[in-house]
Amino acid sequence: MIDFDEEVKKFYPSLEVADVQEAIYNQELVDAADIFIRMIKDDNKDD
Amino acid sequence: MRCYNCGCELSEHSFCTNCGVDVALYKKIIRTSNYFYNQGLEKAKVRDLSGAIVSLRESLKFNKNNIKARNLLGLVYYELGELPAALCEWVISKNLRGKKNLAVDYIDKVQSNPAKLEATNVSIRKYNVALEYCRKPEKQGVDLAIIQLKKVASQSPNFIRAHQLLALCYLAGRKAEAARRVLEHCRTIDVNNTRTLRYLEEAEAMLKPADEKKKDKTAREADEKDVVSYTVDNETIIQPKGIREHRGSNAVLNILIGIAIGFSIAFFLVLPARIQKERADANESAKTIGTQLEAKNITINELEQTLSDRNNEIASLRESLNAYAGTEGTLLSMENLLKASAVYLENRENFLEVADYIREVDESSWTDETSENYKRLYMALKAAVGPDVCASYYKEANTAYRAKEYQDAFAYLESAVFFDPANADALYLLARTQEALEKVEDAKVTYNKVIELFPGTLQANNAKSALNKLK
Repeated sequence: MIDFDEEVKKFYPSLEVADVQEAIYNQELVDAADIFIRMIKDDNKDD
Repeated sequence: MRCYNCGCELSEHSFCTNCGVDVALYKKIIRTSNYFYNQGLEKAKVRDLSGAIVSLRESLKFNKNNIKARNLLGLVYYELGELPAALCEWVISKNLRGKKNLAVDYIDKVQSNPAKLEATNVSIRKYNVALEYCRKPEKQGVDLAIIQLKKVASQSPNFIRAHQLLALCYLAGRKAEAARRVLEHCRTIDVNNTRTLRYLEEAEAMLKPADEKKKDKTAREADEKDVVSYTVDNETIIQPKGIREHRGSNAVLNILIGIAIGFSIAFFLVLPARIQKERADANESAKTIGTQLEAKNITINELEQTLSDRNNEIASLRESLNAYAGTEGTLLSMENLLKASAVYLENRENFLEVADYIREVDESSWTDETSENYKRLYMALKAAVGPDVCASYYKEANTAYRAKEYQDAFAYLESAVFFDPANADALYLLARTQEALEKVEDAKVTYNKVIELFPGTLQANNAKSALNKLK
């Protein structure tokens, strides 16, 4: 049996088109490759 | 694949042939990203869009510069009706690589249709409003949410989240059939969406016992009553078998009844209102015409008054004009005086002709504005020819008097006295002529004039004697 209130909590408001710019700025654009390169650079510094 | 250090194209070796850095792990990371991208692509091809999103996000976690994965993720979001999320991905993709990038085309296509963009925005706002309604306690706003979400569903048929929320609202209101239809639609867009499948299961669970009962009941009724039943959308239609419609006569009868009802409605409802409206319009027109008529009458009266004033002015001007140009007018008088002057100057012996012209001059029409020179000329001419004219007329008058032609004598003597009032003989003879014509009072006046003007003269004595006789 589905609980309506619990299910509604899982829905989140949708972004409007005007909010796209802010959403892009707030995006975390760090990926595994960036972490790897940072690690290599840190290792090289230690050396 | 390019080296992360120097940007050189990498070979099959585990190091960069240009700068020598170890690229083994880096290559693995990139390959993993590509693997997830391929997985996402496969899922997208079979419309497992939720699964595709998961795979593509994983791909981007490993390599954010995976343009293909990002573009595909944007496309998947777009297909699910999540336009802002799609635009996010495409804009980031465009910033990572500005040229030879499909994301640029996607963004241009979206921006080239501002109407659709605005419609999408409106749908998003309505969805957010509906979500707020749903969050009200004890499902108070569910009905309002359904209204909003229906509009969103019609405007944005691909907006899966809105459809799912609508289905949830239907399920909360025990409208399982409606929820099922909405969820079936969601499934055509995203086949493996967990939420859709879960709600669908719930809806079918709600429907199943009722469906079965309904089917049994329908089947029983159909057996008992010999009827045919079938379902269309949300409705079950039960039609008795073997009923033939009497199409012909029924149709004609229905048409006649319809016509009769139509006429009645028109006669009792439409016509009186129409008549009243026409009457009101006619009254309005009559009022307007009345007002205009009044205004016109006022204008006419004013014009008539003006006309009357103008006519009076014209009459006055004509009078003035006649005073100058009429038979007794000033201009004519001047003309006669000029003629008299001309004749006198040409031949002084022609005094009788001069006298005729002078007689034409009307002294009575003179005013203070009459030219002084004109008056002087007149008086001078009159004085110049006066005695001769008087003598001549007196001689004629005498002859006529003796011949007892008193009228002629009177005429001559009048002229004689006009030209020379100082001629006592002429004046006395005039009085005698008036007496002869039985103009007694005039005669008395003239006799008194003689006595007054010429006292102590023979004419004065004769005049006194004549007066005594008349008394």
